[in-house]
Amino acid sequence: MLRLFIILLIAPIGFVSCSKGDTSEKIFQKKSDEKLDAYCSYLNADSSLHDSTYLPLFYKRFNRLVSENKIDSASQILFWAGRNIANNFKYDTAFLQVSINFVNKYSSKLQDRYFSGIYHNIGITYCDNGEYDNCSYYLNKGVIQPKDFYTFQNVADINYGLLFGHLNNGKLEQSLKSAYKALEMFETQRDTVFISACYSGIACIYRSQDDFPEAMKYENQGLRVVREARDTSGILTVSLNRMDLYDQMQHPDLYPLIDSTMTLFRQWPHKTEDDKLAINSWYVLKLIHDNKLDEAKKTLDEIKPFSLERSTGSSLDYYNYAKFVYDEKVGEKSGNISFYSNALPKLKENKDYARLALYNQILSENANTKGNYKAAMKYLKNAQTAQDSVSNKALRIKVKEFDRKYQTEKKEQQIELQHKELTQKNTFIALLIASIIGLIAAASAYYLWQRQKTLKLEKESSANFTRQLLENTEEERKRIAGDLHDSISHELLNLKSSLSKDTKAVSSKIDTIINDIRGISRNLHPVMFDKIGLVPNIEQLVERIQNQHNFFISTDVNYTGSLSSANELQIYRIIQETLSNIIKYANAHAAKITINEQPTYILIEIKDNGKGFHVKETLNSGKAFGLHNIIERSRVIGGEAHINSSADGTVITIHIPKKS
Amino acid sequence: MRILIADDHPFTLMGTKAFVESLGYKVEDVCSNGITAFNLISSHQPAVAILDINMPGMDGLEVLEKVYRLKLLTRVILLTMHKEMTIFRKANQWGVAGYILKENAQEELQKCIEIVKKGGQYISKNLENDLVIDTHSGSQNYPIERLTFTEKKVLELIAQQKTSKQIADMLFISEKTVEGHRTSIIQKLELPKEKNILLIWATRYFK
Repeated sequence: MLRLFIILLIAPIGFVSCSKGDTSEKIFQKKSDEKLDAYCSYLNADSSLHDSTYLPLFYKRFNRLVSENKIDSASQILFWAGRNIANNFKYDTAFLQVSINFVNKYSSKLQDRYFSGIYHNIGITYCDNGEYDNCSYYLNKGVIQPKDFYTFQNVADINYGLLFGHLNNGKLEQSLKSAYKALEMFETQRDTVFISACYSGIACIYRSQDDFPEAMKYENQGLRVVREARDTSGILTVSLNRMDLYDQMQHPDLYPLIDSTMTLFRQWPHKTEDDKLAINSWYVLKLIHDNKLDEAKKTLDEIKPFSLERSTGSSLDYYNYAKFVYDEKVGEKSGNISFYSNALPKLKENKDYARLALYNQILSENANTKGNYKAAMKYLKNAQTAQDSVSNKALRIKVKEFDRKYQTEKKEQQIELQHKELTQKNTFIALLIASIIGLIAAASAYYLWQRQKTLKLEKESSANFTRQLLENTEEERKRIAGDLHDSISHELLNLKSSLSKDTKAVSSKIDTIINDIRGISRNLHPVMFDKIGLVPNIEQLVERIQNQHNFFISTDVNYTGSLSSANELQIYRIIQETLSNIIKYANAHAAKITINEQPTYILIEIKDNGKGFHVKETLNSGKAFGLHNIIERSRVIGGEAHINSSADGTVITIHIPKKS
Repeated sequence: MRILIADDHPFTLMGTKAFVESLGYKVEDVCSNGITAFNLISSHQPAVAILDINMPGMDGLEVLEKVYRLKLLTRVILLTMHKEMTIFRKANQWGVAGYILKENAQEELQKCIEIVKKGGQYISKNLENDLVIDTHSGSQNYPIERLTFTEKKVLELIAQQKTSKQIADMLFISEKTVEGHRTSIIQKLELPKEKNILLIWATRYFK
C-alpha cells in the first residue's frame, strides 16, 4: 500500500455549515440562525453554484452597490458569495482579485465581521489551491480583535485555517501556535466540531513528522470531544482524518473504520458534495482492497461529477488517488498520471511540500509499475526531500518542545482560570454569608425596634391610664366638694337663717337637703349594690338613663348571679361607662345590653347603632379614659373586652370565663 | 301589741321609740344592730318590728329576709332614708309589711302601724320611682302621657315614617314587639280602628 500523505483541510462537513438547516445549530450555538435575506441565502446555497448566472448576476449587483457607494450591502453579498465559493473549492482568480481589491480599498468602511470574513474566504481559497504563502498572508490580515459573535467566529476560523496554511508550508511552529489559538477560541464557544477538528489538526502536525503515537493521541482526544457531545458531524470529521492517519500508519483497522464511517455517513442528513467525494473515495479504496472492483468502479463513476466540478481541494486529491489506485489495480493505463506530473512545478513554487511528497510518491509508484526504475528512484528522492522539509529531526524536536510549551501555557491558563473561579466563588460565598448575616441583623433589629415600640406604646398607654385615673379621682372629689358646697352648705345656711321662722318652711328645707345628699350619695355609689344585685341595678340604671336622656335601651339579660358582688360592680361600672359614652358621642337611636350566662363563661355585649369611631386611633389618642376604663375593668375581673366599631355602630363585647 | 324597734342611730332610735309609745303602743325591745334585732325577733316574736336598713352586723333587709325565710310571724316595717325603688322591690319580694321614709315618719308611721297591725301593707306615699319623679312633670290629662317610654319612642319613630321593621332594627327589638306597642298605643290613645290611623295621628300630633 502506498503511503498517502495528505494534510487535510478537513471539515467540509462542519465547515460548510453556514447554509440553513445544516449543522449550523452546532456551530452557532450562541445565537440562533442568522436570518439572511433572500439573495444572501441564494448566494450561500451549495446548489446555487451550479447556476451559470451565479457569478454574472453577482458581479452586476455587486458593481451597482459599489457605484452607489452602498459599501455595507456590497461587502455583505461579497462575503456570502466568497464563503460559498471557498467552501465548495471553486478556485476563481477573478473573484479572488475582486475580493482583494474591494477589501483593501474599503477596509475602513467595513463591518468587522465582513472584513474578517472576506479575508478568511480569500485565505482559505488560496489554501485550498495550495498557495500557502498567499493563504497565510491574507488570513493574517483578517485577524482583528473580535467584538461580536460573528467576528469571533471568523477569527477562530482564520486561526484554524492558518494551522493548515503554515503546516503545509513546513512552518510547524506557527502551525502549532495557530492550532492552540483556534482551540482556545472554539473552546470559548463550546464548538465541539471545531474543538475536535483542532485536536485532529494538531494530530496532523505530528503525522506530518511520522510521529504516529502523538498523532494518535490527539486524534483520540478529538474523537472523545465529539463523542461526548454526540456530535455526528464532528465524528465524521475526525474519522476522515483518522483514516488518513491509519492509512499512513498502515493500521489494520483502516478498512473497518472506512466501513463504519460510511455507514454513519449514509445515515447523516447533512451531506455536501465535498463530503460525498471524500468519503466515497475512501470507500473506493476499501472496495478495491476487498476486491469488489465492479462496485468500486460504480462508486467512482457516481462521484466523478463532483470531482469535475472542483479545481482544487483535498477531497479531489482523495478522488484522484482512489482513481489512480483503481487504474493500477485493473491494469489500466492511468489516465490521470499526467495530472500529478503536471502539478509538480506549481507545487514546488507554492512550497506545498505535503502534496509534493505525495505526488512524487504516486509518480514513483507508477514508474515502478512500468519498470521505469530510474524515474521511480528520482520521484522517490524528490518525495523524500519534500517530506524532509516538514519532518526532519530538528523540526521534530522543536515541535515537541513548542507543543509542550503551549500545553504548559494552556494548563497555566486553566489553573489561573480555576483559581479565578475559585476566588469568585469564595467572594460570592463570603458576600452571601455577609448578606445573610446582614439580613438577620436587620430583621432582628427591626423586630427589636417593633417590640420596643409596642412596649413603649403599652407603657405610655398604661401611664396615661394611671394619670387619667388620678385626674378622674381628683375630678370626682372636686365634683363632690362642689356638690356639698353648692347644695348642702348653701341649704344649711338658708336653714340656719330661717331657723326661728315657721317650722313648715324649715321642714321643707331639710327635706331638700336630705334629697340632695341622697343624690350625691347615689352618684357616688349605687345604694346597697351588693344587696340588690346586678340585674335590678342595671334595670334601674337603664330606666334612669332612658328618662333623663330620652334614650332607648333594650335589655336581654340571662344571669343567675354567679359572680361575686365586687365583680358585678365592675360589670355595672362598665355598662355605666359604655352607656355614658354612647349618650355623649355615638348619636345613636338605641342601645342594647345583653348578658348571656353559659356554663363556662359569661358574655356581656353592649351595642349601639350610632356613628362609630376609629377604635385603634381613639385608644392611642390618650384621651379615651372611658374606653381604657372598660378594658382595665374587664381585665380586673379576669375577662377580655373587644371593641368593634364601624359606621353602623359599635359593639363592646366582654368575655368572662367562669372559674371552674 | 308588742313592738321591736332597731336603729343604729341612738337619737333616731329614742325618737322613734318615744313617737311610737306616744301613739299608745308598747315598745318591748330596742336595739342598735341587725344581729341583736334578729335574735330578739326570733326569741320574743313581737307583732311588729320597725327596722332601719343601714345597721351594723346585719342590715334591715337581711333581717327581713331571714324573717321571711323562717316564716316568722313578726311583721317588718322598714323605716329608712333609702328612697330607691330597687331597694323597695327587694324588700317587697321578702314580704315587707311597711316601707316608710324617715323624713315622712311623723306623718305616716301612725297610719302604717295601724294598717300593718290589721294585716295589710303600707307603702310610703312619698316612695316614688325615679322614673315617676322625672316624668311626673307632665299632666296625666293628656292621653299621650299614658304611654310608656318605649311606646313614646315607637310613636316618635312612626311619626318619622319608619316601618315596623325599621323601628325594630333601630331599637334592637323584634318586629313583633313593635307591633305589640302599636296596638297598645292605639288603645291608650283611643284611636278609631282605621287603616294607617296611627301613622296619620302621629304625623299630625307628634312632631
